Amino acid sequence: MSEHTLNFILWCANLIISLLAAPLLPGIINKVKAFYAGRKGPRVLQLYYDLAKLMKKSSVYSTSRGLIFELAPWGSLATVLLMLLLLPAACLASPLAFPGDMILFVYLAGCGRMLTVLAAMETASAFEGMGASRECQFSMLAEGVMLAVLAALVLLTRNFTLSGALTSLTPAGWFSGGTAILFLAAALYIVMLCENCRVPVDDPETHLELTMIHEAMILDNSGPELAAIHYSAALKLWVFGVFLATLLLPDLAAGSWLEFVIFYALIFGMAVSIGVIESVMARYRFLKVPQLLAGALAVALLGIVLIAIFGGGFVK
Amino acid sequence: MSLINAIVLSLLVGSAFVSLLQGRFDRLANVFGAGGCIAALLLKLFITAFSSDPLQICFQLPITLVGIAAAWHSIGYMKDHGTHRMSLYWFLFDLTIFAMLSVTMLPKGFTFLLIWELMGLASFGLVAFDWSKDQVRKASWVYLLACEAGGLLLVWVLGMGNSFMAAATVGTIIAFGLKCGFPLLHVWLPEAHPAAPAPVSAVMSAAMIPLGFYGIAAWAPWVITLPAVGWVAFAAGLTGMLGGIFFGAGQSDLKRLLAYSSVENIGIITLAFGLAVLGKSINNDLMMLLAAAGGMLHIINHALLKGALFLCAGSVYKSMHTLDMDVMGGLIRKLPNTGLVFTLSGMGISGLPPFCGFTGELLIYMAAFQGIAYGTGGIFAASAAAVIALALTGGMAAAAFAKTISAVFAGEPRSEAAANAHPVSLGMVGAQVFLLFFSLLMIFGGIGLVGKFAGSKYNNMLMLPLVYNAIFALVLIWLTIIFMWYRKKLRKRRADAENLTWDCGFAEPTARMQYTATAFIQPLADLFNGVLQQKKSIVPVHGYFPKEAKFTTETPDGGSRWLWEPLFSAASFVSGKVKRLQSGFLHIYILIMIVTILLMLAWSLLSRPAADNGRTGYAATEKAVEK
Repeated sequence: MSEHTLNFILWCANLIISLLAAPLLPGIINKVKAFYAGRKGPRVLQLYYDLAKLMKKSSVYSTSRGLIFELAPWGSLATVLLMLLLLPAACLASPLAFPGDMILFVYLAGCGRMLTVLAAMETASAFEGMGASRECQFSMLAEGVMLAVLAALVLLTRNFTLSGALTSLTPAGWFSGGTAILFLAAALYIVMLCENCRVPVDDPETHLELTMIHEAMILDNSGPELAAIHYSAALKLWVFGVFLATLLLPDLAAGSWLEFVIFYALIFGMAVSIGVIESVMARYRFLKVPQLLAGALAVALLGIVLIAIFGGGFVK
Repeated sequence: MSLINAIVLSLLVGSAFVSLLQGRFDRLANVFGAGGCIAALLLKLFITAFSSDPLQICFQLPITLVGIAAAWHSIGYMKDHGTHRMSLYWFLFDLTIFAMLSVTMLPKGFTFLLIWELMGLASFGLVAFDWSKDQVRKASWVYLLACEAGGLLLVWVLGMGNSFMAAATVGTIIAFGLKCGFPLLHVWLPEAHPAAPAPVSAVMSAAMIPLGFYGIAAWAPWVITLPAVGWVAFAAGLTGMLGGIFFGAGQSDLKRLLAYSSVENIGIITLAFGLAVLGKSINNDLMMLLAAAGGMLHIINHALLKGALFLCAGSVYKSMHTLDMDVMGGLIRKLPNTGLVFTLSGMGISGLPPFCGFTGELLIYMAAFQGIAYGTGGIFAASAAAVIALALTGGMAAAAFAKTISAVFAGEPRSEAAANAHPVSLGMVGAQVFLLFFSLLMIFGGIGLVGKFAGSKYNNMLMLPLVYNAIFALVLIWLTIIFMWYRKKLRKRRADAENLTWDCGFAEPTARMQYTATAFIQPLADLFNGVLQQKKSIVPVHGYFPKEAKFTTETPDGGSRWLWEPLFSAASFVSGKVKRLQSGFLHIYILIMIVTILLMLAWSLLSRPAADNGRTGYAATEKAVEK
């Protein structure tokens, strides 16, 4: 079996693991939060039970709905699946990578979001309108930060595929140019918090609809549609985890098991860190969130400046 | 080929005059006007599809496709218009299409100028078609001013000939920029589009505006070698797209918002051409080709999507007789097909995959990435700025169209007019679906077009992203369909229910509980209020049992508010002062004439050659010869 085939099989195996393990992440976050609060908390596998239960239920649809409402949960699930297909597994490039796929990656997220927003507006609910309006505001800024991070990656690696740009960092390169990488990771982390509706941008736990964004938009979804929404939210968190992990992970030796161990440890570590953040700080006022994202943009631009000054010569 | 072109053009002129002869017979005028136009354009479409010149395709395809759809849509839209003037309408419409098509086949010169003027005047007639309305008269006046200013500049450029290259370049860019709607020159767009009949807006916004780019390419082909022009285009594109969509998002008039979205898209195209010139200046051929191909592709994509959006806006107007989005809502139940076309086209124009609006932007992004990876100094910085600005524009466009789609079609009706909206004719829907079909086709058609454009060396680099993008688009669509099919299978086994929206007491739903278009965009508008400077009027809540509270916003255009209005009011102030000379007394006029003659005399004395102590110029020359 050639190395190429082996890599392909490993990448596919990782894809299946991703699809199966994604619902673990919210469970881990909740467990960490329960630990901080001194509670026992729900099981780590709770989301699996929830999904199974929701798939068995029937749905209640709003009488105000239009064309998008029934389509949106499934359409946005499809966009997240495609985002996953574009990402590398540890240091193995995606077989579907093509030059310019990083832009498709960002815009697929935009497409899924648009569907969710339109579906929320179709219910004519004031709460859902509020959530949709805020989602549009924050995601616009987050998209700018995301593209700035990608621009920095292109400058660093001169590689125009997402897989190539994320996997071409060498261990030696880490020691000479890791500062810039850390800047980019910090900016990306804030984008991740925003895109996945976590504290301090959004609070997924609260039951005061006035303070929610994503949860407010899906108030009227139920049954299998709600299951699709929960699953794609978990998968989106996994997608950003992969992005962060592959950004930080240098290429030790293609396909080595150590790499995969670090890769998964980074993803689950991200979930733990989210849990810690949600335990120790409160959600920001909405007026403050644009400042947070502008700060992230500044951090990403600093990363670009660092790379521009010290050159992009530390990649393979 | 030229024979078929001649047939097409003469068919258009012929049907224009024949339909004019129909007088008050609207039906006959429809038959000749629309029939002739559609027949001619179908013939033209057939030969354009097999053309090998990408420049021709990218300017003629929008004219033919949007022209056909708009002519088809006009029949329904202009029905019950009252005044029996369809013969005049078709005369102007066919002449406009004729002039637009002819322009794309002409080189720089007097004929071009003449046809360009014809295009401006005929379309002015269409914009002013409902002249009994105050707003229409004002808008068409602004449009006429913009057209004629551009025409005058072109006369000046033509008169200069080949001397004064720099002045000719600047004049050409400003003259055609007026048509394109470059920032600050765009002020006629948000005025003229809401005033014109919807099919006319569609043709003008989709196919006529981009002809400005053709004009620049035909009149000043050397701009591609001037880095300074690249920088100007970059700056104009950046401000155009950001300003266009920021001001657009704040509007609550449906067609005015679409007009601003055109300014935004023209900005994106201008930015692309700017990047192409900058790429050429650093000898990065790939960057140049990516940017130019992206810009070309975006011209076609924008035309098809914006054409469909304007036609849908026309259908909405026809069924509600208003364009104010804050009183619409729930129209999806009355106009399901129009709503579907508007939703898909709106997502497309926001640049979201799987729709075709994304393909052009993808190539422009990649050009900017080339500039980031291989450019130095200013070009590196410009490319990075372009990437971030494109992302912000995309996000803002998505917000603006989420607002538009949901305010018009989603939720519950916000007024009696919206609740009682009546469906539109089948032909109007057909024209919209026609454009939607071609815009979906462009997801794949763009690959072939870019292939024609790229030549051989960079073919792979340009076409590969589009091929993959088309595959991903198909996978996205099929995945969604499969999920929906599975959901439907689940439904057979259980009882899904319908109920009112859950909203803490939605049981007594009134439309006033919904978010309005203004409310939806207000957080973003507030965030960028430094640029927008919205005018707000608030009647705040008073007391424990408040009776009335009100909040309205208005987003006047920045260009006309801070540049043109002060400029024109200064001009009218000065001419008001000068007007005092016109007193009506004969002896004052004679005095003015005498003073003028004396001044001219003095001027002619002073401007004589000063050499040789007052001897005549002729004698001085003679002396010089003697020496």
